[in-house]
Amino acid sequence: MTATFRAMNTEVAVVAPALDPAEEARLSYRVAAVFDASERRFSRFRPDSELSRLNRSERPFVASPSLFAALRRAREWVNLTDGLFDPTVGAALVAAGYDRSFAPAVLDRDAPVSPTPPPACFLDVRLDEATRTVVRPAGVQIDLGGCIKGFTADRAASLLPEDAAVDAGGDAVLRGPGPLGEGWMVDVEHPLDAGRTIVTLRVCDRAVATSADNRRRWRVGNRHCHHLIDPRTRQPATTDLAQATVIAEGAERADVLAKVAFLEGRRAARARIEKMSGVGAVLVGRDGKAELVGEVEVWDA
Amino acid sequence: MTTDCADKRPRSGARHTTVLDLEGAELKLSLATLLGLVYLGSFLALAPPPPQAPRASAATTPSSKTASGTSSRAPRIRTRSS
Repeated sequence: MTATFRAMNTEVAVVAPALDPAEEARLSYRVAAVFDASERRFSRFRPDSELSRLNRSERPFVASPSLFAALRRAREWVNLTDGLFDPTVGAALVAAGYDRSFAPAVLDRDAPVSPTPPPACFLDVRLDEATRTVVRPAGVQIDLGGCIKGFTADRAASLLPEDAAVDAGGDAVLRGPGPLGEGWMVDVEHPLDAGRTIVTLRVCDRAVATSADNRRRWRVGNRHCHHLIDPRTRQPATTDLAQATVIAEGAERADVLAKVAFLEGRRAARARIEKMSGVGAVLVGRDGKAELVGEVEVWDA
Repeated sequence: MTTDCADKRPRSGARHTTVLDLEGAELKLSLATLLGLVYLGSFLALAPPPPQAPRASAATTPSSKTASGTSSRAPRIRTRSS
């Protein structure tokens, strides 16, 4: 059995086969509290979140240790991904129509919300380590949606016993060698047919995350938009990949790298993943063909 | 004490006074109720809602046969964009 709850606009599951149902339920409450706290602090859709207050602030903003740590980590991801991961896409997301929590058809509209915002870079956001003060350039809106679900899954996973998993709508941390000692079975959904599995992976003591443009989609006029913004164009990304799944030692890392792989496309993503230690990927093209890259193991291989 | 709409309509001076008293009592009651509701409302607005209670489910797939043909009841994880 699995305990589930909703958080961050997705279904979160806690799987702990070694625990009895009462222990599993108690663990799930603690995991739910971690997600709840994270959502309260980091959601750009909640006007009362600390991130929203930072985005509204017109003066230097003194961040809590948690928000400051998240921003510091985001800056590290910006550097590691050559700027392809960039949390300053917040204004571009709003301009593209993603101005409220997603639900099917809710974001559909006939005209754009606002013009595409001017270029911005997260490295221009000043982070003062001594005072935890954050200074945003004018007009920059920070969105941590590209990493915060993975970040929260990693924090929740620290509560798990050996051989347990937390799965936040496809961003999952899988602890230990799995309930049978042979690894966890991870089905990768087919991006062109959600009812099918394109490949089943064997994953031990690592995390997985998947990015695709097949779910969070909406219509602006005759144009279809999605939530994966390319920071180079400030527009929903156009790429030869339909989906990127990344396996790495943490969910935040997998989350960020899956988005970056999707944005940069098959060739660049393959080159990037192959250079990284402890990282693997399943890249699925628009033609539905899957390619395994880096350190990845198929269940029946 | 109950009254209907017809009783509340003033037809004479004495009757009018009685009706005003009744309405005054009702007004006090309504104010007290309103104040109570405002207090309760402000409390509820300030109090953080509890995280959604987890529920047990079979969301992960307890497969009877794995991809490699091994029989098991092991849970499977499904990764997808969300």
